[in-house]
Amino acid sequence: MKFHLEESIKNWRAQLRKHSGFEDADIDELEDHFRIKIANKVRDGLSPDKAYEQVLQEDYKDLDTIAKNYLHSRSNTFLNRGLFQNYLKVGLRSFARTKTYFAMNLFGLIVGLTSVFYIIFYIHYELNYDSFHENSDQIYRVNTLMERASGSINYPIIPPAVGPASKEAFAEIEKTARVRYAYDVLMQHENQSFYEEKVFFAEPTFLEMFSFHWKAGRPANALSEINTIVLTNAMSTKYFGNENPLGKIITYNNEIDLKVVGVIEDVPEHSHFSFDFLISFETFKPGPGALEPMTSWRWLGFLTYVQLVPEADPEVIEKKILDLFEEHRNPSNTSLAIQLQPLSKIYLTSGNLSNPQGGLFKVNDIDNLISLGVIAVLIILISFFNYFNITSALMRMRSKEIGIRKVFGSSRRKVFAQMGSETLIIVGLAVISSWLAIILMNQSNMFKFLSDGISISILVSIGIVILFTLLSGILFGSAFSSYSAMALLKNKFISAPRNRLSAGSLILLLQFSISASLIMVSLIVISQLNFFSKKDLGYNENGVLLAKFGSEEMNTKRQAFVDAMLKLPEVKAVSFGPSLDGSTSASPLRLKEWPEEQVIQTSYFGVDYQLQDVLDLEIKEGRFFSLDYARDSVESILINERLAEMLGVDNPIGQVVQFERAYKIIGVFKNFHYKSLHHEIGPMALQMWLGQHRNILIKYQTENIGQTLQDMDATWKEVFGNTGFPFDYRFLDEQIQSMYHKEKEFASLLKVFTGLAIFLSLLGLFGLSSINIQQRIKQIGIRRILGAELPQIAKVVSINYLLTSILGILIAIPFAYYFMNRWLEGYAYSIDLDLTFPVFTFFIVVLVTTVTLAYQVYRVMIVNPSTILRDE
Amino acid sequence: MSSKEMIGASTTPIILTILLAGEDYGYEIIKKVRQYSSGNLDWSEPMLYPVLHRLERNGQIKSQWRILDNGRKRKYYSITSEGRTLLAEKKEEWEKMIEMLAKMWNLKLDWS
Repeated sequence: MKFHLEESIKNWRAQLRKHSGFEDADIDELEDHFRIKIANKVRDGLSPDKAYEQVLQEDYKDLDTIAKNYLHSRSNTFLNRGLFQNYLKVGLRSFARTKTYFAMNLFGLIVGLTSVFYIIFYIHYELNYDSFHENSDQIYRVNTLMERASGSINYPIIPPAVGPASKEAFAEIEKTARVRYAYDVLMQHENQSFYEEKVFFAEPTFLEMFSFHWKAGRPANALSEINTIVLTNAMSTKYFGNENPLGKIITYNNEIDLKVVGVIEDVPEHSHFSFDFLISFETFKPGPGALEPMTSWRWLGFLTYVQLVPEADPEVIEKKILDLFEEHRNPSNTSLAIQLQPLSKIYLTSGNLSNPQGGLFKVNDIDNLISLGVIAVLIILISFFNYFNITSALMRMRSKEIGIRKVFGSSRRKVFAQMGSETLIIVGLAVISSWLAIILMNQSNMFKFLSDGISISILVSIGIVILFTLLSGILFGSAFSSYSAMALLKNKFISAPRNRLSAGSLILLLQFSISASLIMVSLIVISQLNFFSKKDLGYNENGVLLAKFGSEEMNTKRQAFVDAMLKLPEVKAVSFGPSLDGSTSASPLRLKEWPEEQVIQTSYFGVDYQLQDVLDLEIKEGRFFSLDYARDSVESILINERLAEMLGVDNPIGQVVQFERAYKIIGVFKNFHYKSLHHEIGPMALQMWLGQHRNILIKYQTENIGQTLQDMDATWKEVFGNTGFPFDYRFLDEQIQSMYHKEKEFASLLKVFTGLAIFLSLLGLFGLSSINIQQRIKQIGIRRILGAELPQIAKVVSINYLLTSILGILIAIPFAYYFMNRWLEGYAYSIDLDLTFPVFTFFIVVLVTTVTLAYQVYRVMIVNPSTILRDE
Repeated sequence: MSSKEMIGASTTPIILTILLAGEDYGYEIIKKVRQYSSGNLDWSEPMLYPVLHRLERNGQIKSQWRILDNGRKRKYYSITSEGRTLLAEKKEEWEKMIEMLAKMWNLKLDWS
């Protein structure tokens, strides 16, 4: 064979490169030296191959020692620059050697970290509701807590007299602001009119207490005059385009002209209280049918915020307000308490508040945030476990490198540093990528975060990098220093831990448990939500449309409208009645013969003759209101089964109850869910109300809905065309579903992150099993040559993993069961935790595990065993 | 010939002294050492280069890759002012040591 000097030098270089002591520049320098020596010998008459052999034998025989010298000279300082560069280089080389696993590790970490950052931002956002108000620490909402037989109910509203009287009486109260929700408002400017939902009457102090940003206008006197209005920027654009809105007129419900005195920036998303219009409080006049004046101590109808002086103790003030309240209100049988709810806590601690304006005030449950936080920790754990498992499996392949380091006197400290720096590189890359992902998501408006959440996330990033680096350094460093150098060089490490329960399989077990728990939790949450959307509400919400019905003017054409509607073939029934958005009114009710203090606080709807037809209400006893009975409109009442039970009379029909005035019970209707399913069905009554209604409910045929809507709209225009009120409708079933908005948001987050956690666990399983198979590929090859068929090979490859996954599921089930049982207790109506959940969880986990492992078996089986064995 | 300690102590001043005469590369340095020591000191590459690299890291010498006529590259080392200072210190130490030993052993020194 012909000798090629260049080829030989290249090989020689490759030999050097295998040693961790050399950097590329060292090898270049040595090569120069090597060549001079060969050249000298050739000049002295030797042939190139002889010269090469001689130089190699004389001076470069023992590369280990040479490398050791080089390494040694660098090792005077721990982590000096050169050394770190060396770690970096060795690390990069090892990444390059194991590209797939490197990518797997990196990708897993990126997915894990991005999820965790997302959750951090989400939680931070949710925790910081209303924090943008300068005085947020001093502002409280005054709530009424009412003790009832059925439990306590909290109203975020109080009577109108309480606020001003408290301010007058107690020096600790710096400011109070009363706010009144304006129902079903039609706003009009020139020839455009819109129904508006976020309209409030507010005292001028409201804008002093809260830090909403002004765009135009005078904050000092805004809202202090009657018939003035402040609107948000979005509304200014909606009504006035680019014109200056100040001084312009908006007409309220075709009745009152309001002058625009200010424009504020749109209310930030993270405000529990959201509005588009604020009308001066002076403008609010109790309607003609109102039972109470503005000086009332009984009318629960006003949101009231107070701002306390800095050092005031809210508990003391609560007590003082309550005393004042008790002094003024009539001695009554319901026991009351006053609660000052801190502004910053309103969003997360209002779950038990009766929310009289439907979904207008945003609430969330702190438990959801805690759950997400737990999931974030679990994801980080899974990510780290994956990293640890894959890396330590790879380390076994690198045992020779470490062995050589040990021979050269490399200490545990240095293995620590090597592994630490490799982790540092990979985790650093992952953190940077995750940040990029988060920034991209933020820019594409997939989610929003508060800028002050960034500092927390940066801290978390740094923490994760340090923790991962230290942990992996310590874990791998100690693992390897516990083996003797000779064992490492002989690859003893590979075979040593196989037959006992290794850390790797314990970790895998934990991962399976976490994934299985998350799957079961998700299944339960999703079923509970399905249950919400499928639960029989006690009335038929399908094929019902709700339209706003505004003014007195319209009320005069009410019958004409109904008649015109009923002429449409698609329309089955029309009723003027409740909005069914969860809001109710309530008053005390008692049997006539009961003593005055024995009452049942009863929710009620004012309805007309047709409501039963529209909602398919089921009458259990007696009858519904009927035109055949002239006195139904003044003295008849229907009660639900719950109230009938509570009244405790054998035959409720014909009984007389005192409910503001005397009514005779003419029927008992089947319980229906007049509030969201979070609330239990309480005592409830229906009475006739023929005055002004705010809602029309229309029962229609669901086929060809487009045509139906067109026809209805045409009919509406025909009757109400000149009133300026548009046909503004919602579908009842959709409105009901919107009550579970937060649950849905939580469930979709849960689904996504559970999916990711499962994905990460599988990634870990995949990585670990493929490394394991790679190491045992010869064993498997021999088995196959000896005649093992697919089933035996599959068993060898996957039985341990499969058993681990099953054990993991068995561990997970009781945990998930326990926590979800507690979670479901929070709902008045919930699914039963039966066997389907653990069984489904079991099948999902076993299925995906089997598929993953089957792929591995397939990879082994497609290789001809003789090629594996020849490869030596 | 020499003991490990001797080599360890003498390497730095020897290298610095050779470089004082002008920049040089590894092979030549070893060759010069062999000549000056009349063949008694025969340094090897794995002994020399790590020392050169350490001196360079310490800032006492600096290096530069040069492209040769045949297109290959070679690393040349030269002394820095810090190196000169270090050499001056070492020289003083060695002079004192040699003088003392010479006195004790009644050797004649010829400082040329």
